[in-house]
Amino acid sequence: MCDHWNAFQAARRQGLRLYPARCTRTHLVEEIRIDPPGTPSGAQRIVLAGRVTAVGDSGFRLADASGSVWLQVPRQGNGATPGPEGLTVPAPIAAQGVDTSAGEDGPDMLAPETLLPLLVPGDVVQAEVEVPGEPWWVRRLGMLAKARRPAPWLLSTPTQGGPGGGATLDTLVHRAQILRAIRSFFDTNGFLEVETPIMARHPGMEPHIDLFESRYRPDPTLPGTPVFLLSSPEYAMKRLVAAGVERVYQVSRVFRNGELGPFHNPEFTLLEWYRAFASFVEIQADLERLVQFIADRLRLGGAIRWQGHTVSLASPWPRITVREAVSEATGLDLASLGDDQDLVPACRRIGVDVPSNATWDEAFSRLLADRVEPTLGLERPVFLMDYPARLAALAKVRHDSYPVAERFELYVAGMEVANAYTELNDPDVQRERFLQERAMRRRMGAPAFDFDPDYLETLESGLPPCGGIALGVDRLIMLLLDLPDVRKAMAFPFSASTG
Amino acid sequence: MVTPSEFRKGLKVVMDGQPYVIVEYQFVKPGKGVAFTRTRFKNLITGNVIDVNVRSGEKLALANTEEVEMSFLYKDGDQYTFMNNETYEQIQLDKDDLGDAIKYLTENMVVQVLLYNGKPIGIDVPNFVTLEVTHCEPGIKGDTATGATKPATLSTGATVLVPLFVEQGDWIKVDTRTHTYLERIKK
Repeated sequence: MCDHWNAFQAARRQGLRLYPARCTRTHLVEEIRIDPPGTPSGAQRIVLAGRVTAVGDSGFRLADASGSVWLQVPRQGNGATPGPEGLTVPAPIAAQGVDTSAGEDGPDMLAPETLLPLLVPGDVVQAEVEVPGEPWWVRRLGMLAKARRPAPWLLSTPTQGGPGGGATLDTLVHRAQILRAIRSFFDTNGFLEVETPIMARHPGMEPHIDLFESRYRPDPTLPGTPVFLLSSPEYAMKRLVAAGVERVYQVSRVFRNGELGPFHNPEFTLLEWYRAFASFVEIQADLERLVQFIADRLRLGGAIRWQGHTVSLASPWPRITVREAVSEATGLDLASLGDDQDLVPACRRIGVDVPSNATWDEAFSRLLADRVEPTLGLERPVFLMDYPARLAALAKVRHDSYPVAERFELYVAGMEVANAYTELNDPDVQRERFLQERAMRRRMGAPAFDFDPDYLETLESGLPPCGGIALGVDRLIMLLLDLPDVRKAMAFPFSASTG
Repeated sequence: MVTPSEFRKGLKVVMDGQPYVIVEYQFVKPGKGVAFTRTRFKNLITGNVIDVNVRSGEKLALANTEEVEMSFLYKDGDQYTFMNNETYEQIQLDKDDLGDAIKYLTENMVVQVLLYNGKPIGIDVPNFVTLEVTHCEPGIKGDTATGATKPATLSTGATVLVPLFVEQGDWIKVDTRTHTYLERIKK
């Protein structure tokens, strides 16, 4: 076997057609295995096509979508001569008599022993074969696409990466199965699947989510006006709830700038669903049943096994308030740490690495990430709920022992998977929060936008009480399939080195 | 200057006036909270490892470091002398500056000497070195499959775990980054 580039050069010197227009495949490998020739339904002329996965002295392995087979090549004996670079170069094609059985636009079908020395793993070929029994013999062989460079992922085992350093083919099959299960769950529970714009003029205002900005222009020579790739389709979803869709869901691609790491990709798949005349309590029940439903479809045996953790999915999943979780992990009482001046020194005192000039949000994020999250959802998935009111975002605030937001996040094996609210429907409070968020964005030096007038108008016209949730589909897939990195759940993860 | 979004393993930066190399880093962002980069730094002078949460957008100065190829000449007490093969300039490093590299150092070995602001602060030995086993328990013939290991002392004083078939007097190839046995070399 010679290297890819030399084999390509040799094939080109031969004047072989390396990229013919047409392929004349008649069968898949498995079709022939099921219905071998000689049987009443068996085929007469068999042309297989696929990728070469291994090459030996007496044949090669061909793989197609159905499976793979070793194809035996008859011994060489028709005037072949040893060529440069250790290649055995077949006699000129004219002398071989090119078989045009594959048609004018098809590949040059050659005696297989003349093409075998030029074959490397990765080549895409078609082969006319005879199947007298085992092994299968090649009668004629033609090149459909020459591999001039190796593609290691083609031969990937489940532990290797896919074409873009991401998912393997096996993972993509399971990913599709999970997406089907999600749709099946919501369709049978009376939810309407919708698609709403992911490009909008008025994006979400969350201070700590950076957006991708683009421009709409009526003509390529004009500067145009800014538009944004959304980080969540939530406004449009709630406008549909207000319009009368009481149960609605969407699987959409969303974008968050700068978020790149083992558990983040700047472009990812988000599942959102909303229930009218309900709160985050009903959403918790939906979520519990959804994950159990998917796990059953995947035959996971009632548990998620991820990177050494075994997390039982048996109901009921525990609920813990943020105040309880922080207190258990660190002894701090959030109810009395509502200001920057209180929380930052308290965090530093217990050894959380946070700068003394940190904001409350920053201190809370590090406290949560460093001390609390690693303890959550290790035995069963956990609903972390009742966030301090200042982290309400689009959630309603309830007055408990201290003001808390009706918001929860689901944690599995220390990993956040979903974020849900009892949706805020008071337009005055919403306007107030928009103003606060915009002011905060300005203070942070982040771009501040106009808030969405359509969304506020929707609230002013009356949004029924509802619960809603956003779930990171790639992270869920990562957990369900025991992948170490969220980028192993996607076919082509983003690479920072390209930009 | 670099921000956490430009971090990569091996990048050398200055914090509190000390040169550090980035050993590991991970982007962290809880929920809708504030992102930061959990980073493990190794002090290039003391070898101490520290974990620091770096703010997104925080700027760190790049360390003015340079690697120069030199040969190890000799040791005198705790002083190790290296020579630049092009300029014949000689430099001394203290035993403490050499860290784990000392376990693999042999005379005339070509190493990378790390200079910080022009001053030598440490060395990198080659990733793979071949050394003689000077002491280990007797070998068991034919045992190549069980994966069982035993400690072996090498000519430089390093100790690594080797398969049971390795004998005293054998030469073995070692990965100096992980301190692991790779293969037996026929000499």
